[in-house]
Amino acid sequence: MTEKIRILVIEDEALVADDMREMLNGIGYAVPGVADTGEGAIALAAVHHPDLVLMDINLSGTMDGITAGGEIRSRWGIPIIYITAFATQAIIDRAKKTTPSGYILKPFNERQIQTAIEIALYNAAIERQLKERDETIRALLNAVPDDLVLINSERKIIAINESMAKKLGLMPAALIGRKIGDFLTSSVLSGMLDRAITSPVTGRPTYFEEELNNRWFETQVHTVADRTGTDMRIVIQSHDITDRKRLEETLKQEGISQIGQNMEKFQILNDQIRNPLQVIRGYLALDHTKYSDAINKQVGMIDNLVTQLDMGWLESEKVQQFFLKHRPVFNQSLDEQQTEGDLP
Amino acid sequence: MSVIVLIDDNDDLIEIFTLFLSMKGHTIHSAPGGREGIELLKTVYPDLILLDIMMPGMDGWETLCAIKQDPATRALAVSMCSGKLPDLKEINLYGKDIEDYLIKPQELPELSDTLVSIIERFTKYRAEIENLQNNNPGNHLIDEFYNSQKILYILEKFSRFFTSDSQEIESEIHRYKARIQEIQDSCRYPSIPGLSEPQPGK
Repeated sequence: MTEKIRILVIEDEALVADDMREMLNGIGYAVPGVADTGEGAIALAAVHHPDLVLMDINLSGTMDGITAGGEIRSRWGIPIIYITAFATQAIIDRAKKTTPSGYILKPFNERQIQTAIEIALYNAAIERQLKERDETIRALLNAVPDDLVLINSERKIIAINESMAKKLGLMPAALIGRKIGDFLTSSVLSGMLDRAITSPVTGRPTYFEEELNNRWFETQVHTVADRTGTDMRIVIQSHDITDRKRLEETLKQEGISQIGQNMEKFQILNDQIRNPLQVIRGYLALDHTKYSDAINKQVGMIDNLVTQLDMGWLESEKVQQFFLKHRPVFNQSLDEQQTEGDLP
Repeated sequence: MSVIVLIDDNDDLIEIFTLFLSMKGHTIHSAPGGREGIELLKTVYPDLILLDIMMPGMDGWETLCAIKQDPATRALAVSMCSGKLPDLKEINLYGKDIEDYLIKPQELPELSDTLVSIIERFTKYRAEIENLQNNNPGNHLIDEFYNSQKILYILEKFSRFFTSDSQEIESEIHRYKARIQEIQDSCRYPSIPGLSEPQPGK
């Protein structure tokens, strides 16, 4: 058997309070405390953290039940059921603002109070689940270092993480329901959203890379159909790939200089090969045999091969020069990298 | 018959070159490296220095610079002789200081003729320059005129190796030609005989 539901009874008439405690115990609830003032109610709630509070509106002391109920509800999220013998519209309006879980008029019977409590507890459980789900979604949204935003086919923001909201300069809550188009700076992304919204859902995300404010981003647009299949949701996820880009450039650069170094080795090697060729050719010229022409021909073939390697070297230098000359942006980012030192 | 200094770190190559050139009546001195070569030039005054490039210690380009910086050896004729092709940078940098650039392996029976023609060309234009300088004292255009022709000669000789660089080489060739023409038009200097039409390749 699970633990009993614990309910606080706040009532300034001692007899009524006793009746209520008995009734609740009879139904099967526990009553960990009874108070007859608003201050007393808050003190009990702080100690017991009950599952529910039955709150009389008229209490002894200066604080009435609505004030105490509002306080308990906002501090601990505990559901409140107000009980009163009379209800003017003004009182109901005040009570409404504290989002009560129920409102019972005296005199009441056991059946009424049990129904009200059960509905209130059920609603409280649902509310808690929703809140947990919100928390989970929020945690998921913010766990990724990427910028994330979910929109519907009307381009309204349904969910957004803190990273993305920060870039847009507003709190996430302030952005929900706003049109994404009011904030986009990337024309590429605008175009992709247009296409995503007008095309059927394929389930395949589309990617693009873009440089914005000296940083590189890989952005993914993923369209998903909603459960009814009548509307769609679009997830926009943007990943900062600046470091990766820089690393790629560095590797490319290292590759180029590696080729250059290899070719330089070729150059030295070629000289080393041609020297013995020269000597062979010399001895052949000195002492002509019937094989001289054949050997000379082979020497010529080796020499041609070496010449081809030489030309490769000259070309590689040209490629190298070309890369270095046409990469001013890259050179600049290398400088930044050195000052920032943020490359892994 | 000429006096020729060979500077090369390959003993066998020195031996075979010496043999062939001696047979043709030349006087040959040799050194196995740049430093030894510089030392040798304190006692020998050759008609031509045949200079290898890739050598341990002092390499051919460094040796060339040392020769051209020393007033005692500055006027000597130097031809590079290497298994390595020159690149554009090297041609622009050293082209004015060399009379030719030979690529190994050379045909030995023709080596003497090749070297003699370099020496003859050098002797002729040396006399030409001296004559001009005497008649036009202080005219710096004379040096530029001949230096440009020497660089142009090496550029054209090796242009066929720069297949993918051809545009850059072409524009360099064009630049030197234009400059030579410009000076020629204004000063009427004679061009270096033999340099205007280089033998293709080696």
